[in-house]
Amino acid sequence: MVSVDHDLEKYKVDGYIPSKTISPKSPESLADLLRIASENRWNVIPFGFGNMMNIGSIPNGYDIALDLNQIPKYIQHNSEDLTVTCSSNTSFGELNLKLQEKQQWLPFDSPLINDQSVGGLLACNLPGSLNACFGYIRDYVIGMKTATPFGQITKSGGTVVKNVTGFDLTRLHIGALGTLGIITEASFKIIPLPERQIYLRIDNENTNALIDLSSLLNSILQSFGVAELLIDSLGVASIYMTCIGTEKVVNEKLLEIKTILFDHEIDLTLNEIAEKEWLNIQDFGWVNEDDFVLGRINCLPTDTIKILQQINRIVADNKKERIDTLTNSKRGVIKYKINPDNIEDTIQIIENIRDKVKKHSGYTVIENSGTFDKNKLNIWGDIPESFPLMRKLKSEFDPVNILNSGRFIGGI
Amino acid sequence: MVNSSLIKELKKIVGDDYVMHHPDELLVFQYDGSTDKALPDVVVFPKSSEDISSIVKIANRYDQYIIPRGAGTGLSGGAVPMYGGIELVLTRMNSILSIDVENRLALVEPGVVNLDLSKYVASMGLFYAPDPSSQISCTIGGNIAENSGGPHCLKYGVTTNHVLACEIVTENGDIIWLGDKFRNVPGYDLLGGFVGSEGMMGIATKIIVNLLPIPQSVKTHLASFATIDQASFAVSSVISSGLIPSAIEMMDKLTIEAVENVVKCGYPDTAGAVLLIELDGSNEEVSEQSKQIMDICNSLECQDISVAASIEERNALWRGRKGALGALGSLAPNYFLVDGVVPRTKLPETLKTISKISEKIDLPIANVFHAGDGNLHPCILFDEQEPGMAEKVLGAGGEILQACVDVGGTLTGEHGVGFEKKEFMYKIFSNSDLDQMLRLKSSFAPNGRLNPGKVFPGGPKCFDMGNYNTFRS
Amino acid sequence: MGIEIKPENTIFTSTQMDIQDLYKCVHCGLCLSSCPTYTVLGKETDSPRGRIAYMKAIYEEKTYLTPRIVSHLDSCLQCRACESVCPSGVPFGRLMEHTKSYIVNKKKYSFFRSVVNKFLYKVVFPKQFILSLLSIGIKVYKALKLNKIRILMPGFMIPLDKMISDTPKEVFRADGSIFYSNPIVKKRSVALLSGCVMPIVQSDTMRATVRVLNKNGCDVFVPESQKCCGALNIHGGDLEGAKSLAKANIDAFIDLDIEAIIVVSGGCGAIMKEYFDLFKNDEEYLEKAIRFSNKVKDISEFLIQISIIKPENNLDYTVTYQDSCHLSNVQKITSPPRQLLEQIEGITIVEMEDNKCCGAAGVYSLFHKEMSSVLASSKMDSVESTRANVVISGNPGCMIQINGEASKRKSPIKVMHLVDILDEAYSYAN
Repeated sequence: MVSVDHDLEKYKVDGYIPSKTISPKSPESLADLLRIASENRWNVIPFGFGNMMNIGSIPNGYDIALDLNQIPKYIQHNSEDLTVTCSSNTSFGELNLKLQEKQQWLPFDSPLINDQSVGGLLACNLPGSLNACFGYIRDYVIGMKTATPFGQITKSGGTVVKNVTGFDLTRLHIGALGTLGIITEASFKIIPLPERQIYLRIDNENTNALIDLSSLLNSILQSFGVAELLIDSLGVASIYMTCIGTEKVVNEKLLEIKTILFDHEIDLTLNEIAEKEWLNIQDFGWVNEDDFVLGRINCLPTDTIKILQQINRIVADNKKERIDTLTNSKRGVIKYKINPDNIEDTIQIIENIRDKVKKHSGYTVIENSGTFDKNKLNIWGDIPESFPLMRKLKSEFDPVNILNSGRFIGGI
Repeated sequence: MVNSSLIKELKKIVGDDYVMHHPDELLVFQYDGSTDKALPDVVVFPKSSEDISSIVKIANRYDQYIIPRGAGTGLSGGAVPMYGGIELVLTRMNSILSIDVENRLALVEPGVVNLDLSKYVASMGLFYAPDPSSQISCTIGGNIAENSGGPHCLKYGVTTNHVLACEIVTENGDIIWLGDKFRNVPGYDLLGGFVGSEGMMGIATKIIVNLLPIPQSVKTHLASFATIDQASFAVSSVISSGLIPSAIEMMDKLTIEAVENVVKCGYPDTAGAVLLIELDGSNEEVSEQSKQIMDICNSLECQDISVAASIEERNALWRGRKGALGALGSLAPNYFLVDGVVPRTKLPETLKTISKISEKIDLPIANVFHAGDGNLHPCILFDEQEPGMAEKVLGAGGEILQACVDVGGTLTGEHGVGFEKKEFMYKIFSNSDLDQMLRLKSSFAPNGRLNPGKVFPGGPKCFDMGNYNTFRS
Repeated sequence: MGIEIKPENTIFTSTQMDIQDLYKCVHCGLCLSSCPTYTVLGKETDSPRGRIAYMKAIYEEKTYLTPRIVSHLDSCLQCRACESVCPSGVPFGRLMEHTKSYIVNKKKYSFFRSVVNKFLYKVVFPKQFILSLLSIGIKVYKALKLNKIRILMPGFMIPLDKMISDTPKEVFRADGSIFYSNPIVKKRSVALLSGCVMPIVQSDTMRATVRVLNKNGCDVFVPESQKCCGALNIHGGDLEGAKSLAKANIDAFIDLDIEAIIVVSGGCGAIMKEYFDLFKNDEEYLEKAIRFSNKVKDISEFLIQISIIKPENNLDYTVTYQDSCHLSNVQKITSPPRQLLEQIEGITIVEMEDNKCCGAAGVYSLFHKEMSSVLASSKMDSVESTRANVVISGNPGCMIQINGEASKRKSPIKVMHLVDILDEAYSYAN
């Protein structure tokens, strides 16, 4: 039923190496394993494709790495119903390729999107740019199966697009980092592939002009696209954009954008870029060029630029650390990447940013801490008012605390 | 039973005028829009979160159930106090507290009527998308409890897609915010679990919802087909063509006749089924898509397809749809409304099964439903004065739901499980599935004090099921 | 389940309520937010659905008319806004009329209320000479300048004082006169219902009506034997009294060679169009009532039907139109008044956001001062937010109510009947 893998090094998490790795061959044996782990109070860390293991705080312990890749993979695409059901260890990239055969897709992006498993994508829930146009993953998941620490495979939702039968457990697991159960199967509602998607880039040395322009472009694009503003550590800015829709809509938007640029007082050139370059932007902070700390700010869209400017001031004051930012004023997200000169300064900068963000009622989390000591970083930021309920939820779903113990918010 | 000191304490909180406990007054709080009935012991009308918190604490001291209620338009018995207790009516908490136009947010109290919010923000170019058929009366708080949908959720999604945050009062009287003004805040998506929990996990006392810009253009098409089969096929064709209409509604022959008798909105009497297909978006987008819809319908031998030429015509078409249930009420003294969902491709098959069930029980079943989502609303017409009718109708309702489940569908698309369908839950879920739901409920409301006896099969305390929480340490 | 309809049940049978009507209600609740009292109180007890539930419970003998139930039933304005949103077509107005009658029959009103009811329904409205006495009283009040002694005037008297001080000197008498139009333009003959209160309090409006009709080629006959329409009796539960008034009116108008019976009060018109409801068991009058009702026309409806001569005056008013409940909810007349206003040059029409009942509702304001004044105040808020300087209505009750509220707030806003403004546009005024 299970195979034991002795190549433990590759399952390392935050420097911890598991005592054992187990690869269940079916969801049922996965559930069984969880029950046994519960009975023995083993700390379990589920392992999909293993690309996002830097998320979260340091585990309380690490007895077993649960490799999910031996469970049979499947994709059931019901193209005429516009739904799809797949095993959680399916690659998201493969899933979308399969959907595209029938001119359909799931309109998400996320760091390393094509190298994430569906289950990992749901558990980590690191939305990329497209949710500004298409909404969040939580709006597309219509059903889910999970393996519980009680040894059962349980389901919620279903495979129909509209469903209020029973409580909504699917949303609880999205972004829960596998701390409430291990997702084994997910069903999505999907949408038709748009006629056209283009990718664009605008470069200019005048950073302030581009900051204003990025907001303007976002309002022009409406729900047909989104603009991300990248400011690198030298203060050089570029805008990356995508525009999605019918041939006609895309052409119209393109024309509108060109008109805006033409009327602008500074010279701006518009380059059409390859999808790959756009995906690189989505991978911001997740491709290992160097050691760095990646933080994410969520705030009200109208506060985004104000916060960005405060960060820019912090950057200006700080000569040593190199800081890149990626800002989306449409969805109220700023990602910042710090290449630290020394960790103490970096921590100081993060705390500074956190202070500013808090004044705008926003949140900051550290998405990826590279190889830095997480003990020194406040990964999840302040705990929310509803934290006692979260803790209760965890203790109901995973009473002896075996799943990803310690890695989630507030030490859950 | 309640005693006089409980009444006295409640009156102290909300004032004498806002506590009702005389049997003659309680009479009108025993029903909602469904068929279930039960009397509360006392009815309270709080004005604030703090009122509710105090009331909940009193309920704990006196060991009383609490049953939250909005307008009482629900269709699954969600607001009916099956086991008595304190009915908490939220209609006085009906203020729209603030609107953030730029970020398109509204902060409202739970008693705000759904349509009132859309009316209020219309002048700002915004609207609130979930539009249950009862939107002229139902409240946002009730919508959250039931996770309500409506015709336009085909494009826009249901309540849970539009609620960003709620202040709730928990079972022990704590006031806590779930969610925030934007998505993706750190921690569990507790709000996602709360929306649709049918009043069993807490009472929403302040709500932040997302508003949408009013589309530039709207076009409503009326397509008539000779048979319901052809109409269902048209629905599939439209959906799989890559168009996302804002609504696709279907009405069968029986419904058309009833509607034309009462409302007279211009549905053709020769049709076996009609579709209302609505598009919205920018002018160009809508006119282009409208052509596509016309082409699709024409290629499928529709009898006729027309576009509402004015707002009046459009309203007339929708008046027919929204008044359909009432109009069916004119064909028979009673109706029993089912809320099953099937995958869209299974519509023709399921409709055939329903018509077989109709023949078998010798009662007419009308079909008027959200075809675009596969959300059926078969409506069994009967006269409850005929002996044995209640059992017959409930039995047929069960058979219809079984038929939906058999083709991969589910029990309820937008009305909620409530009291009405709780015994059907085993058709979909196993004990361990339900255990998981109970675990969610327990983390919010371990004592089962809030809206007892709903959703889960069995009695008011649903803890005797399964081997719940084996590993509690 | 399984409610047995018991024809032998004595409850309601005295009032001949059609019990099937009660069971048309499927308690869906769509009526709730249309109901003014529910909107103010937020209580199911004071909602259309709740009131029907009470009627059912009484019919099914699950309760009896307790004082509390009476008060919830009685708080109904009978505005019938719920009827216009009811998808099941429940005739709520009719149910409520029978229920009120039942309350009266069961003697469930307080002693004071019963006496006042009797006085109003048996003495005041049916007997024109009592109303004449009232007009004398008004004259005395004005002559003595009692209103100048502001300091002595309690708050609730302000609206009344406003009504009195606005009352024209001369009464409009239903004395069998015929007002002829210019023989060159004459095309039609109509009869006019003079009503009970309007000829005294709003006699100028009555005269304006005659002028507007004359202008548009109608000879106007005002039969002498006509009586009060009986609407207030019906709403108050005095069905027998209403029947005898209805009979008198049917007799007064039925044999006239006229095209229409013109009514300038939304409330009167509504009830006159439903006279046949009163004669379900009286074949002779049922047939007559149907013929009579078919001839009844609200002034706006009639003027649009005959298409009026374009008014020559340019009036620089911003107006808002107050839909009288019984004109809009019962007679379903909402666009003709607006169409008429649009024909007057210079007028800007601004719609109110909320078109709920103003709280006048016949004699409602006498017995439910608090609710009535909350509604009046919210109506006035809606009026003021339109920034209109004139409120137009087609019902005297609404006019008196809004006028009273306006004077309470010392608002300069002018309240006019639709025919008053038409009359002014035809340059007859002053």
